[in-house]
Amino acid sequence: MILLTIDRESLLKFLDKLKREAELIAPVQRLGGATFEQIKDISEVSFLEGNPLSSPKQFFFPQTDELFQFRKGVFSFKEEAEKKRRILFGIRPCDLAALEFSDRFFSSEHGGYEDIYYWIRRRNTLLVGINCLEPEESCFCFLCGSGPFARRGYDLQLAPLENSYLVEVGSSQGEKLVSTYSDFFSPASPGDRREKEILEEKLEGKFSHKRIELKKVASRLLEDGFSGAVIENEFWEEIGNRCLDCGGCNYICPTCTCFSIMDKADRNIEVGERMRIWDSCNFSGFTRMASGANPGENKRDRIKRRFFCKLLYSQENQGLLGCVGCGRCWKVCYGEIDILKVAGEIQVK
Amino acid sequence: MNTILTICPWCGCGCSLLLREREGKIVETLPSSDSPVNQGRLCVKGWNCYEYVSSPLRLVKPLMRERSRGYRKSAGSLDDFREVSWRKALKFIASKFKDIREKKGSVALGLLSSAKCTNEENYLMMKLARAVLQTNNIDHCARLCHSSTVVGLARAFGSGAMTNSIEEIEKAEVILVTGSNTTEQHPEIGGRIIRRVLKGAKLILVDPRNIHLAKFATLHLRPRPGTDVAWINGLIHVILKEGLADLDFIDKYTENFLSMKEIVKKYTPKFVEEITGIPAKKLMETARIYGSSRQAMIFYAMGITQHVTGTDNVLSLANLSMVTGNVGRPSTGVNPLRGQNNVQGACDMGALPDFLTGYQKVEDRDSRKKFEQCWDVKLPTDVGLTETEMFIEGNPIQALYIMGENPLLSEPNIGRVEKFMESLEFLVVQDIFFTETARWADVILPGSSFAEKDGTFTSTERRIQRVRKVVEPVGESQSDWKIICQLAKELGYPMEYSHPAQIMEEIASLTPIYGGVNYSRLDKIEGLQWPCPEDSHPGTPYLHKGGFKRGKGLFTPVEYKPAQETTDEEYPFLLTTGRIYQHWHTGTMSRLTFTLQREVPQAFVEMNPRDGQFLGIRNRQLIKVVSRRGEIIAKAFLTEKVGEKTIFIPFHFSEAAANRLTLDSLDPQAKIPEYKVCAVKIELWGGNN
Repeated sequence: MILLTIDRESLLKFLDKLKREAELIAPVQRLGGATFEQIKDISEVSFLEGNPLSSPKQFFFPQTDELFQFRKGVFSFKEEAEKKRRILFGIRPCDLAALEFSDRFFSSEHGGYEDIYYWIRRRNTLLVGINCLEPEESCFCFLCGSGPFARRGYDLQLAPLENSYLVEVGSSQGEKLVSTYSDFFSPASPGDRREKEILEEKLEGKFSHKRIELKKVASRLLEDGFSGAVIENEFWEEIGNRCLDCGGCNYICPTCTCFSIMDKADRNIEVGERMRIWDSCNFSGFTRMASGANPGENKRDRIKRRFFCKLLYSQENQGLLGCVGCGRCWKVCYGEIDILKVAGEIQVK
Repeated sequence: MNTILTICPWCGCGCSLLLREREGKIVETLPSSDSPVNQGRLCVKGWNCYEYVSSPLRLVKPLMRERSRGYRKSAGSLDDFREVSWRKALKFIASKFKDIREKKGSVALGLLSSAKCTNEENYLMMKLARAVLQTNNIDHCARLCHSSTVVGLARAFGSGAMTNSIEEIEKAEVILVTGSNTTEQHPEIGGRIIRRVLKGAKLILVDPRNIHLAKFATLHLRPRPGTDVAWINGLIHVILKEGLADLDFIDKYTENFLSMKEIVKKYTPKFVEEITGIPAKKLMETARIYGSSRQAMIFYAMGITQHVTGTDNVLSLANLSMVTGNVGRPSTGVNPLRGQNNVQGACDMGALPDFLTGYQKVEDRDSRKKFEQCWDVKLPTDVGLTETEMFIEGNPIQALYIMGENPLLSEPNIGRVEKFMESLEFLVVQDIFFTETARWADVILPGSSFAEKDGTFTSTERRIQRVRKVVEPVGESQSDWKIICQLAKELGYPMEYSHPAQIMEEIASLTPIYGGVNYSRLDKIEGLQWPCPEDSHPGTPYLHKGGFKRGKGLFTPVEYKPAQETTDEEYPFLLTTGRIYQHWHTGTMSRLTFTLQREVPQAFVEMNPRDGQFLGIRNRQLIKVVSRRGEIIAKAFLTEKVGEKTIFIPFHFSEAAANRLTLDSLDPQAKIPEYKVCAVKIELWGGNN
């Protein structure tokens, strides 16, 4: 692997160069909170410690995404317009892991369907990530194997050192980037490597959570198999009661990929557009049938399904844990439903 | 691509969110992690708040009713209207208003402002009514939701707003919720209540329906609808009898205690049980829990206000809080949860027939004089008509200008409103969609949505926050404040503002509680909570600190009076109406929002399963609900949420409008209708669908 270093000043210059040849997306600290945004001026880029509340999922799989427009029987498809090159800077290891998950979900390899809208954006985006030194209270990436330092999934990955960043090159596209702008980079010394290793070791102690073997939780769920033999109904009932059907945990989750299709048309249904929109398995309409009958009418069952999906089905279907430990779902939850706490309780059942 | 911070347009919580625009359209909502109100949380409506903005069904051009088709006497379809230029539409409106005013006087003109619009727009609408059209006939939908709060709390405390702040829930020991389905209608507040209860606070729920909060309640009292004064008097009775009252507080800060004490004497738990159906023991337990705490908050909403005794109910709650000294400190108070995003602001801005901005009385000469000087015009002196009075046959109203409101679905007894419409000479509707009300209009003006303009909203906790423009108004539609300015000019009174910030300067100069508010101060995430009288004033999280606004808190003796219409052999079911989580009021926006409409696609009637069984009604079967005023057909939804002999119907659905059934009797003081109680019968309908 190629290992380089870059100092903060050069990094900004490097990003400024990238901004000229592609759409640069990076965290921005603005009134209301930090978000990933298209950078217009390089001074907007924020090197915040934590992660923006909304993940970069939206740049690959937007909340509402126009698929095509129709006008009196003529259809025009949108995907061509989305071919612009993007560079996503500042993505954290948890979100990189989430992208690996959604890559699998949206590809045909795992029995699914190759989603062109997703892949046009995905293939045209280079990922320049940053490893985490300051986990938030809600973070538990180390339990999910997704962080705080990324092992894969990036084109370039930065590790913040005392005076510079250590740069790991993870792909041929990444290699092309650093060779094009080689002036900004220096070769890493063994001391730089050692510094990174020490940082990583120190980090373990910064996570305050108790150890939960998420794989073990999955096997408990498998044993239960929705039967209630291991996990009684009251357990899910209590969690379900705290759910206020906002859909926030799904919307904010970097690995949630469910969507629905809607048409927006004028009153004569002649002119309009077809769009997809994020959906949530916590909504009762998610499984309601035309008759009104609904296997997911009960909140208890819906919340239960969500945890089965995140902790068990994801591993069966995508071969990856459906939770990357970013802690966002807990932050947006009215009822403080904490996936880690739930998993911890299942583990000891 | 732009990402812009603004305020959620649905309920009164005042949650901040960021909207992301791409190629002129809003495609995403990002919750605001830094907002002290929602701290990153949003409800399902908030998450999906942007979708209707770009609906192809938006009104994009001014429309005029074709004269040839016997207009004015019926509701039209869009085909009955033709597109006209702004110039033509505004000239026509101005000439009609002038004409009617000349012939019938200013008293023949009525204006309805909008709790969905900004403070600045409500202010201008109010100015248009009073300064330009010379009428105090201006009101808005607060008449239908919290007018009894404004009247009641103003009388008892001197200020008609939520006394305390949302974040104070975090330190409350006891939370009494009544007539508020908080998790559905104010999810941010409902969520905070749940989290506080999980940490040990006691929740007392008083509600006829078995709503979601009941799962978290220490005690759930289920009174018969319309018996609120009785149980509140009962609580005070027990509190006094058991020595739980705060006599020091009563002595120091209140007046008229003895006459109130005299009235509650007869409200023994046993007597209250007979009236309300609440077991005497439970009432006593409740009195002990609430009465023993000095950090007890009361939250209420339409279950309290929408009665012919609405004002009495509010006054009773004020009595309850004062008896225990639970007001004037953090984590106490009487907290009305305001429904609309800016219904607090619309009231603050004087879109009321009896108040100028900041609750300065129209009848007060000095207040009027201040406005007259600023506006350079003489102002009308008599209190105007309320919204509910504007739709009563035989009133002097000949022309109505309705901005962002849909009374043809939200007023009680719609049949009566339709009759009135048939006789109305001229109707202007300014809205973003072709609503049930717009169908009756002579002229329709396309206004703009929250995401298409700058301004401010004031949330239920008196928090004034900035609303920011994210996209351009669709088609030829315009910001409502710009429309009002142009119409005023057409009527010969120039209103010239380059930006809503300038309007706020004028508001601040005339309104003591907004005196220190300006746009540069609002350019921070937490906004400002009124009263904020000066530039250096930090705003006020809770009211009545160290004494009441009116001087002394006023106890009011209130007797229980039964509801207007009670059940009988012919109409044996009691109907109560309200809202649900996924839809918003008359559905004009929520029913065009895919996710919300999919969650609850159609109207329903909640009915107790035992009643269903008795009548031979299956779940999801279509039934007919009939009252003395009208009938509707909707699906029965058998659920334990409602008690026996009581049904609940949400009022969002035009195809099965609950307000065809409701009663138009009014609270004599606040003129709020009795939406919560009327008598109906159930009939089977059709085949097995």
